Amino acid sequence: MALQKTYSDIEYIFGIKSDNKEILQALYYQYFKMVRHIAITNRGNEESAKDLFHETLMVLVHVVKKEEFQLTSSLSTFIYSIAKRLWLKELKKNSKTSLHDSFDSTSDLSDTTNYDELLAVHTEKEKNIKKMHIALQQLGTSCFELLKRFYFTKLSMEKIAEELGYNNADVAKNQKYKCLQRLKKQFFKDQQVLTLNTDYESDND
Amino acid sequence: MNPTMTDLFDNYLNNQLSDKEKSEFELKINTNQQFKEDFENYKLLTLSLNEYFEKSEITKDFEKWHTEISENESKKVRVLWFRITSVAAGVAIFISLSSIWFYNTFKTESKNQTKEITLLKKEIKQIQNQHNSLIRSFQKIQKKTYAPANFQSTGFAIYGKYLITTWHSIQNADSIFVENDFQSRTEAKPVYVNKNIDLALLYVPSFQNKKSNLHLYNKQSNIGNTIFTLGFPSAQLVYNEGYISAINGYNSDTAYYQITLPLNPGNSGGPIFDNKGRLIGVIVSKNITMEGVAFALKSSMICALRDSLPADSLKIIWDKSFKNRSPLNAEKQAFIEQYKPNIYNIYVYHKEK
Repeated sequence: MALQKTYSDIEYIFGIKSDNKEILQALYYQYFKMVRHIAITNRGNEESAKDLFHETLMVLVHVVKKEEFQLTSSLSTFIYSIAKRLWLKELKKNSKTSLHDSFDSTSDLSDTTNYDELLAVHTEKEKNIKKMHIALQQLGTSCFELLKRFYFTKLSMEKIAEELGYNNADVAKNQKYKCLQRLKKQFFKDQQVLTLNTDYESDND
Repeated sequence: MNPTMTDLFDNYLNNQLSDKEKSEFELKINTNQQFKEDFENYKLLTLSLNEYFEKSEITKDFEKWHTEISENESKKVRVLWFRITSVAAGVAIFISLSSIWFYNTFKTESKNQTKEITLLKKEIKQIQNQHNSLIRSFQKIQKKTYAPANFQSTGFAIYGKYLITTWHSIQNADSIFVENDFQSRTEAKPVYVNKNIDLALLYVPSFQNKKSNLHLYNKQSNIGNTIFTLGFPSAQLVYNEGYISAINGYNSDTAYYQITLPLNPGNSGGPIFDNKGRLIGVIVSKNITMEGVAFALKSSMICALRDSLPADSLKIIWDKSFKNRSPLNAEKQAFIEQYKPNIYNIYVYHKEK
């Protein structure tokens, strides 16, 4: 394994906050087996274990990046608690059978983190991301590339025009506005269409 | 909404407005409902857009790292597999080499053995010849073959021509024979049985009037006392040692002791002696569901039996048999040597149906 290095909890937290890929990778290596174990020992397979771990990390990254974030337990407890709850939800979604009590219960009493609230925020966020995913699919590649460069990579209009072959920044800017309007239309469309494609509604329990 | 507005929103969200513009902007949000709504929508839209991009980017990394881990694991498995196979190959080579060596030595050894076997054969022949000549010299000894008995148990002589054994061992008997190393097989007849306490008295006509030197203990022995027995669980006399583990027998039957003694079928009817060589009981049964639990009739019961008999029956024999003798002070081994001739293997034949 190329990266066996591990960091302290604090180093991990600051690594996530500052988007340090090296630290994030170390985190990934360190906690993958723990989270996989949750899924594998509870009716999961390698694929669902991977999905669970990735979702757990998404929550973690999102939460840690908030300014008010405070770690009330060890990082491993935090990750474990998140993963456990996510997996529980996943299992509830897929089957009506009740789960083992010990798996359901909260483990660390000193951990005052409100995981339910945390996951509710995450669910809301995931819902929007899914909506965005669908909206972007309706948009076409040129708009996608333009929006990505402007909002995510935060390139200047001049640079975008150059990269994507627009005559000048103004043309690109105009195009960006049109794309955004279309995206907005798709994004705020009636949710009924979306529910047919996604199952996030059942997440809100 | 128009392009200027989105620019304004972008600038506000990216903190690119001057303080004056910013306060104007915030004032507009608080006063203009439509403007506020547009801004909120724009904010949500761009936020979701960013989160979407963020997620897709980070997921790419995650997938990459996951592949790395999976590859590492399969590599580990391969390495482990290689290790296992190499160890297995080593073991196989070792086994094949050592078996070649072993087979060779074994071959030579077995050659030696066949030599030994032939030698032994000769010896046996020699012995046989000697044995045959011995047999010829003892002309009086008659060779008799006996049909295998249906049941075998133990009995012991008490006085004169009388033996004690258990009732259940001679139950339904057609004929009874007794035998030991000092007495060739001879017939015995039951003269007294008591089903209640599982006791039988046998009379052997061909016996010479023997004195048994038996000391019958007429009191109750104590728990924990060391006891021993002699009997015929096999064709030869077997000695066994144990202790009294409880004063009462099965279901707290006061007629019996609970004893812990390794016993086998055939021990039934055997005498139980305490340390001083006093007869304290007769082996009756053992509990097959519990380990080390057997039962023996108390000697005091034999005494009680003797006392209860009417004067015109066997009382006189019992009286003579159980005259209290002084305890045997001799060593245990000497005692056994002395008492050995009085213990008989009892063969019981049932009528063929």
